[in-house]
Amino acid sequence: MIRVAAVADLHCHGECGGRYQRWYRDVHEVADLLVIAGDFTGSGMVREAADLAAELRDVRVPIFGVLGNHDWHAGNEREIARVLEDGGITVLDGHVVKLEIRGQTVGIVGGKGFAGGFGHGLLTPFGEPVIKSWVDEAIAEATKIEEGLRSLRTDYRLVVLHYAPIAETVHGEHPEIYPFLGCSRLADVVDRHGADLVLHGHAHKGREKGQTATGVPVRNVAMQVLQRYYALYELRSLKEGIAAHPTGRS
Amino acid sequence: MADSDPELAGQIKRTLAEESSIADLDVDVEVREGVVYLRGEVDEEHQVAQATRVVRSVPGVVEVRNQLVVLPLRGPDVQPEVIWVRPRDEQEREEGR
Repeated sequence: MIRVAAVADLHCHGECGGRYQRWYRDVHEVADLLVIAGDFTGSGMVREAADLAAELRDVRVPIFGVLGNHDWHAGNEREIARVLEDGGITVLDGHVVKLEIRGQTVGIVGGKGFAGGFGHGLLTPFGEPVIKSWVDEAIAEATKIEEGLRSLRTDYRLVVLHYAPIAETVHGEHPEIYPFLGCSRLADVVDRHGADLVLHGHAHKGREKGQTATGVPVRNVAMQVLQRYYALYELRSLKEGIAAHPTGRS
Repeated sequence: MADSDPELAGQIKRTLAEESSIADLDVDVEVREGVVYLRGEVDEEHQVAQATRVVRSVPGVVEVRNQLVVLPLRGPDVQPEVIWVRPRDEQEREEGR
């Protein structure tokens, strides 16, 4: 069993006054790791990332995250990633991380993802070069996740994105902006290679729960959606459930 | 309502959209005779003050009546959501890997 605390869209604007320290200092009591699914900063300023990293320095579980569009906003994404890493936060951008927790292995694949729409509304590489560039970016981000998942053979597989992989967890936003909130190319690679949980943020007015076409659970952990400091997910092997209740009675 | 109110409302919305710390917020803007009414929900206290500052800087604004509300955040759930995972070997057999 692996316990995951997850949140996104903290949008730290600096001078946080200890808020994040208070919110996350006891997370080790309920979780084995903390995931932050993008938008550490409000304006993409390095000092915002530094302030947040300082507040999270004493968190007693490993922290894994991906950058979000706000973190890219001011062109400081590399520096922001470096500052977060220096603060002990692992920033994933196509990387794969493997952990062993209580004898079980968990693999985490992460990347920002990108926009482009969902299903029948998916943007295709036709027309002007800028449209093709947009689609190329979405394909590149999806490919990072695909390559990571392809190499994972852990007991549990977790995918962390900032942009949404499915429309279901975006519902609640204005339909006009759906194409800017995520891209189903991200879900396609998850369905091709399998995963146990996909976490994302970005859609502040979306909903928490959804699933991909093959039934992989997707959770939108934007703080504005959760209305709490983080969500908690317990990944449990069905073997554990069968061992605990061998007769099928609970 | 002054003739210039709709134009001023448009300018205010554009200005709010350019301010990254509040750009993502769903703020309703109404202007009556140059008096600006801001309504909606924001995530943090500082965004309320920031919205007032930004709107006040727009030429033509007589007064800002900020009625934005900060949504209260709750602590984490005590009970986690349990997600059952099929054993890896079983999944791979089914997927033919």
